Parts: sequence; structure tokens; C-alpha cells
Amino acid sequence: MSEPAAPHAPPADPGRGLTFSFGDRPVSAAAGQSIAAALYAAGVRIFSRSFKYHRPRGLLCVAGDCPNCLMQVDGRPNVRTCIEPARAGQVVLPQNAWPSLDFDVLRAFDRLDRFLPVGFYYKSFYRPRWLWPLFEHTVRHIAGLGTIDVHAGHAAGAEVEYLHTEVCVVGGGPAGVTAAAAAAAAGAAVLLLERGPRLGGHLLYDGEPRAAFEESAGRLHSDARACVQCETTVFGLYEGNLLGAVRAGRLLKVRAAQVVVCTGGRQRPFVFHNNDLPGIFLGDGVLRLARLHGVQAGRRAVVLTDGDDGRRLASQLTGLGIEVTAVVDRRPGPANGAAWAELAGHVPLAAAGNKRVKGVRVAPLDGGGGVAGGKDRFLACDLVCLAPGLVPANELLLQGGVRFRFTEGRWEPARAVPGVAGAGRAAGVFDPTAEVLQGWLRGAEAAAALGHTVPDLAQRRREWGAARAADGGPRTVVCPPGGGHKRFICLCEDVTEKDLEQAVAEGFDSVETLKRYSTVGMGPCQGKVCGLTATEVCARLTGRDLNATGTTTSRPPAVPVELGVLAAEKRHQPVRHTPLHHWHAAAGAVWLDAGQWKRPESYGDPAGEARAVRTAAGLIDVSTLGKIELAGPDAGELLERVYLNSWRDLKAGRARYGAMCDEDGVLFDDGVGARLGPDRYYLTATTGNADAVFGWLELWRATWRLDVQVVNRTSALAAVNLAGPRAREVLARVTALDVSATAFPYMAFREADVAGVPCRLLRLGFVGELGYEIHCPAAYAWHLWEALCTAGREAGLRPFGVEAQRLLRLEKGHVIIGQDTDALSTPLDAGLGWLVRFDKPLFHGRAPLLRLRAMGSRTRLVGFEIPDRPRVPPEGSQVVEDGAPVGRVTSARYSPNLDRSIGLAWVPARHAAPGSRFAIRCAGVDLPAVVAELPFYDRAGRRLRA
Amino acid sequence: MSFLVTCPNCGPRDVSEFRHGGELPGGAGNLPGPQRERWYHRLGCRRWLVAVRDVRTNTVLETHWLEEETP
Repeated sequence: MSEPAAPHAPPADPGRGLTFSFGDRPVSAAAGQSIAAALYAAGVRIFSRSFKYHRPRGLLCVAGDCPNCLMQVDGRPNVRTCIEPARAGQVVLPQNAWPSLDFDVLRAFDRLDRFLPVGFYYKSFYRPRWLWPLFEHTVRHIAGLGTIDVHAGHAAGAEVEYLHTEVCVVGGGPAGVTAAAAAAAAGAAVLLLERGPRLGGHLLYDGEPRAAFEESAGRLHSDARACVQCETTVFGLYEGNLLGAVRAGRLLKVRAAQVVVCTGGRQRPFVFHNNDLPGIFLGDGVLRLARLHGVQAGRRAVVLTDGDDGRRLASQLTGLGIEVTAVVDRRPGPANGAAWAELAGHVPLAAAGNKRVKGVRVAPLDGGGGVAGGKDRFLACDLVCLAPGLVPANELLLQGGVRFRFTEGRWEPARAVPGVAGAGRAAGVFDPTAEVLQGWLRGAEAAAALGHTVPDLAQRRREWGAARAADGGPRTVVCPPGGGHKRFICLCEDVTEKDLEQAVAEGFDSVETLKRYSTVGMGPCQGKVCGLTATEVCARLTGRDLNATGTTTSRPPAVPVELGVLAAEKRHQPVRHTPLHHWHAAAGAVWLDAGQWKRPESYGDPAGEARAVRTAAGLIDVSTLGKIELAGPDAGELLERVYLNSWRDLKAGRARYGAMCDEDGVLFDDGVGARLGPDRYYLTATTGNADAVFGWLELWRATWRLDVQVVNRTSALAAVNLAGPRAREVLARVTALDVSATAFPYMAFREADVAGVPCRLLRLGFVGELGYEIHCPAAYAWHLWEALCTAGREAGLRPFGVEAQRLLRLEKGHVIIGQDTDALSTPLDAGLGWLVRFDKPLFHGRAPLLRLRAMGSRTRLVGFEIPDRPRVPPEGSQVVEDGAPVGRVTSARYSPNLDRSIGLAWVPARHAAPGSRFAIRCAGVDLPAVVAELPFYDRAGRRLRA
Repeated sequence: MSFLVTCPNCGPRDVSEFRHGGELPGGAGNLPGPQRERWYHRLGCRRWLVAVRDVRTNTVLETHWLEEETP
């Protein structure tokens, strides 16, 4: 839990200064100040250039909502500098401007808007086609946001954290803090997530009284059931009440039984000509800049409003020392003798200025909904403050399935969703008393839904009902009548009112198609500034009401998140080491990734390692094999039903090769199993499939309710394979077990001490030589391995890796499931038909395999040789016939023992007979290949039975 | 897809810990409403269970071990 700063802590602290660089100049900032505030204090007014027309843009919202302050910070693109704290030594660079923010040559586009109408890229440059790449490159350059430094790996250190709570409250303003306090008081475990560095929400800057808030915050801090996390930004509400959040580059996944969204409200700009000039601020933005960051936005202000908010703002501004020259109110009404000029029934027509606002031209409304001609007047100022009514910042509620309706002049939740609630401004409640009452109620209701007792719930409901009735918010008209063609609606994408008119005229008259065609709301702010305004314009143009028009769908992320943070989880891929890993590393192993495992591919000399196995002895770590033990009266029955071959007739002390299919008759896994006793079997599975085979056995054990225990011992046991003509004499040196050919024959199983370690020994021949697979408890593996190495020194024993093993097994024609087979390979086609016991009444794959047997094979897995040539076709090469692909090579190696290239390939069944010829396409050349009889090496199997 | 599955052994866990094993054989097949499904607690106790999941809302209404399923 992070301790939030006290709500009253001073924001920017001028006593503790720091310096960062902006372009080539140093800028000083106070501790706690945002980058943009420090830049503003240093005289910067143009913070970015717009997306399409490269118009100058200055601070607007100072809340991280709009795109105007995006900059490159320490190599990270698109940082919202108005909320990003300034830190010493930061390198801040502007984006999308050349040569500088103050003079951008592409500003010329601003005069070409006639030639760049809405959707122009759909209508131009598509013919001739060869021109498109050039055009695309140019547009990307002009319309770029930041540049990504692909080598930086910014969020590479991102971690993911999982949190679980009963009630999660998003937003630490008055409604959120009250909701959290109420839920905690009722006995619920509460998690409060706040985006800013401290609690308080709008109370931190808008001058509302804070007594009630302080009381709740105090109770929250002293309540052990409540956890408060500041500087935590929630970006999404997903299915199952899963919240995605970011804190200091760390991804949080919060699962809550109840979610209360208190994310506040926001203002949106009025629409008039040149409404995007630097110096035009949202009123709350001016207050935030002053009260959170200690920076004055201007000296002489004009306030544009549509109700009482303007007068409230004007007195706040006066209190901050900003001279208010006029309050321009759309509504008619008497001037009430304030310290400023009041222009009731007036609307803004145009802002004047080039790179910053110099004044605003206003005109009175006539009776008929238009502007009275000839009565306009100019109000000079260096700051225009917009004070429209608030709208809910309700993205998370919308993502949670809550729907909003426009009733009596404001947006209100219309559909309740179990487990998701909103309170305060986010739910369309703007009255300071009402939002607190609603916050309390929603928090208490969330606790009550979880079974906690809330004694005064009914009383609180009545209080909230009364307060809501009193909270009548008038409707704001943000799009007053007026002329001009630079009436911006969407600042991110430079979409004007005229563009929307044009798009609707072209037929894109639903909000969703209007958005896609005009790109309104598709920029970095994702419609926070323009979404509802676009809906209002669309409703007006199509003659529908707002509810019939609707809003566009809100999807995560609600705020920008770095992709590296979202990918945090993907960095945590486990790597598995065998107990002998560090022995291999010390011996110079070249590593190979086998699923999650690291295996030695070789110790630097795969050819020499393979030769040692063929001529003397070799030792390989096969601990990655799946090791599964079955115990119980039905153990044999389970194996009979899952494997293709028979297991019940296997005698204790004997081992057998087996393979299994899925229900479609496709090869799934193979391995060797041994019978330990009447009711006990021990199986191995391939490295990559161990978990899947275990799950498969468990599935059918449970489905058929068989009396057998299946235990996965893969990690508990290590295994090594001792192979080669001298393997027996090496083993005999370290065990009292009679290892003679008669006492321990091929495919036998024994339990005995080897080098003092209790082991299970299987006499197998995967690599085609006399061999022993020795399994032991993982903790003794190192000792066993070294004992075998010492015992084999005189015989010339060498450790060998996977590469040598692959060659040796290929010489024996042994199939590796997953390498030589794929999701269509059946045992009948893969040369394992001899294994399938169709006389068993029930086993997985029986029915499809019977059908396939009747149909006959279309392709077969065969061994091949390349005569006369040492050339090895790469694995995956095509088998071609008349130039068309008809198969592929799955394994291929040069065999020093046979002195030629050999391999396995899928070929059409008609080419499957030994001696049949086919061609392999290899780097554009067709290599002749001949089907060979398998195995290539020791066809009689004398060596492995030695 | 993001919801909790209550494993009879491990308690409520994120669905990403489980592997879906398809609708139980004999089910009605892809109809809106509760569906009986096999799930494998791959990253937990590694046992198979039956979850009755409302496929319209992804709420898991009930879970029990697969071997307790009456055929």
C-alpha cells in the first residue's frame, strides 16, 4: 500500500527546484510541477502542432485528456506533459513540428484545407497504384505523432501485479473517497485507486468547501480494511469486474466483486472559429494550472459560458489575480452588477490571433436561433476560459456495460449492471452535496451486496433521492451558431464541424460510421474532448434526438498505456533447468530450447559425440522426458484405452514402446512404459508433451472413474541415457545389478542401486546401440552423472547432446512426434501401423483409424537417401512432382556412418515403396532422392540387443 | 475472456489458469444459456472439473469434479 500525501499538501513546491532540458534550453521547475506547467512558466505557449494542418496548439485541459501537450520525454513518445511530473535531467522534445514549434513549415497545410476535405485519403492517390507507397510514406511523415526508439526498450522492466478485493473504488475525489469510506465502514475490504498523487479530485483546484471530504478521507486512512493507492491509473474495466491499471510502469490486474467508478467529469470546448488557438483553456485547466502547479495562465481573461459555471469561474479567477474583462453567456438574463462585464445572450464567433489568442469576437443571438448581424464586438484578452457544463468522464462505466441516457439536460446512467456502479460526476451528478451523498450510497450498496450489514441504507437512499431531485443541471450548447471553417471539434485529428457536415452529407450519418469516416475521436484522446460534441452535431444534422443518435462504443484502454506495460506478463516465461544444467554449462554446452527446457544441443563437437556413442559409449541427460506413474487396479485398463497398443499383457519387469492418438486418430504422443508390478506402471512422454499427456490421462481417468492414481513425476526424477557398445561394462562398474545380456535383456526394466543411488533402469535403444535409460531422484542426478562419467573414462565415454542424438536416432529411422508428424499425421501413415491393436474393443482413435485403414493412405512418412551427394536438404524442404509440392522433408542429416545424406519425408503413397524416386526442391534446385528401407543403420537390430 | 472459475480444490481462480476441455459429451451444443463444460486446472491442482457456465454472461454457476459427473 502506498501512503498517499495528505489532501492538503502543497502542490508545486518552489523551494525545491530542478532543471530539465527542452530542446536545447534548460528549464527549471518546482518539485511536483508537471513538465507542461514548468514550460508554461518559462514562456512556452505552443506545445504541439496539430495532426493534419500543423496548427499551433497550447495547453487546454491540464488533465491529461486532450492531445495538445504530447511530447517526447526521455525517448518515450506521446507523453502527456501536462500531468507528467518534471524530473531533474529529463530530456523533453517537441513532436510533429519542423523546424520548430514556433515555426513549422507544414503550417502551409492550414491554407490548403479546401484540398484536404474529410476522407480525402479515400478519394485520392489510389490510382495509379504505384504511387501509393510514396503517398503513404509522405502522409505518415506529415501526420506522425512521436517517434518510437525501437532500441530503447522502455517498459522492458514492467512487472505485473494481481490484486483482489471486495470493493474497488476508482477515483479519489469527494464521491470516491466517500464511497470507499462507506464500504469500509460497513466491513468490506476496499481498494481505492487514484490517478493523481493525492486524494481530493476536483476539490484540489476548484475552491469548493472540503470539510465533508476531509472527514471521509480521515476515516479512510485510519480504516484497516481500506487500502489507498495513488498515482494508479485505471485504463480498462473488463469482463468479470477485472480492472486494468498502471502504477509507475507496473501493470495491475485488479479483480473486485464490486466496482464503484468515481472518475469525475470534464469540460469540453465550445465550437467557434479558431477555437483551438493557444491561450484558449478549459476553465478547470486554468484552475488546475494555478492551484496544482502554481502557474498563472494569463493576465486578462474572457470567460465563455452557458450558465452559472461562468460566474463561479470568474470569481475564482479574480481570486487568483487574473483580471476578468467579460463573462459571455449564451443564456439571456439580466446582468447582476459583477466586477466584470456580463454579456448575456451572446455567443463567441471567432478567436483572433495567430500563434496565441489576442481576443474573441462575440455577437448577440437573435430570436430565431441565429446570430444577430452587425452587432458583434471584439473583446481583447490574452486568455479565453471556457466554462461549459460538465459531462461525465464515464468511459469505465460504459466499458462495464452501464448505458447512459440524455434526460433533462444531462447524461445519466440508464441501465444498472450488477457489480458495477458509478457515483458523482462520472454518473452525471455535479452538485457538491449530491455527489457526496451518492458516493456514500453506492459504497454502502456495494458492501451490502456482498452481505455486509448497512443499518441506515434506507435513510441514506431517501437523502440521496431528495438531493438528486434538487440537482438540476441545465443543458449546455457547446456548438452555438456562427460562421468560419476552423470550428474544431476533434483536436487530435483536426476534424472541424464542416468536415462532419460533409461526412453526413456523404451518407455517414450514424455516429459509428461518422467516426470511422471522419476519424473524429480516433486520435490519442479517444473522444474525451470531442465524442459527445460529435454526437450532438450528428443529431442536429440528422434531425434525431441525442438518445436516438447514441454515442460511440467505449473500449479499453480509456487512457493511453505503453504496449510494453501491457506485455509485462509475457516477459514471465518460465525457463526450466534439469538438475544437471550447471554441469552441462561448465562442460561448454551449446543450448537448445526444448519447450520451456534448456537442453545441451552439443558440447561443441556433435560429430565426435555421435562417433563416441557408435564406437564406445555416450551419456545424455534426458531428464526433460515426461515421467508419469500409474498405480491402482485399473492402471492397465486406462493404458489399454488411451494407447494404441496393448499393455495388459506386458509382464512385470518388462518395458514396451507405445503411442497414443487423439479422438481424430492423429498421433499425439509416444514413449516407453514399464510395468513395475501387477497394478503399477511407469511411463515416459516426450519432452514438450509431458503436461499434455498427464492431463490427457487424468481426463480419461476421471471421465471413466477408473480406480487408478496418475502421478506426474517429471520434475521429481532425473534421467540419463547411457548408450554405446561399451555401455554394459561402464554400468557394471557402478552397480551390483547383473547387467549381462541374459539377466537384463533388451526392453527389460529393473530397479537397483547405481553408484549408491536408488534407480530405475530401462534397457532401450533409441540411438540404436546397447543402452540403459537410468532414472533417479533429481537430487542425486549430479552424483549419478559424475559416477558414470568416471566409470566410463577408460572406455572413452563422452557426454552427448541433442544434435548427436537426433542424428543417431535418424540413422535408426525413429520418428519424433511433433518433428516428423503434424496435426494431420496418423500412425497408419507414419509407419507405426504395426503398433495399432484393432482387436482391442476400445481405444482413442479406433473408429477414425478403422475408417482411414479402409480408405488407404494418401501420404506416407518414409526414409530417403540422397545418392552420390553429401548435400543435406533443409528440414521443411518441399517434395515436388512436376514442379508442384506434394510432400515435405521433416528430418535430414548427413550421416558419417553411412557417408551419405539421409532423412525422413512425407511423400505420396505411390512413391512410398523402397527404391522409389522423388525430388526435393532445395534452394531452387531439385535434388534426386530415393526411398530407403528403414532403419538405415543396423537393420537387424543386433547392436541394440547385444 | 476474463472470469473466475471456482476450482473445488483451489477455490476461485482466474480463468487463465484453466484449459477449456469442451462441452461435456451429450450436451445440447452451442446454445445460449448454461452449458456443462470440462475444464482442466492446468496451472493449479491439475485436475479436471465440470463447470456450468452461462455462455451469454461467462458466469460460472457451479463447479464439481469431473468424476462426480453423473453420466
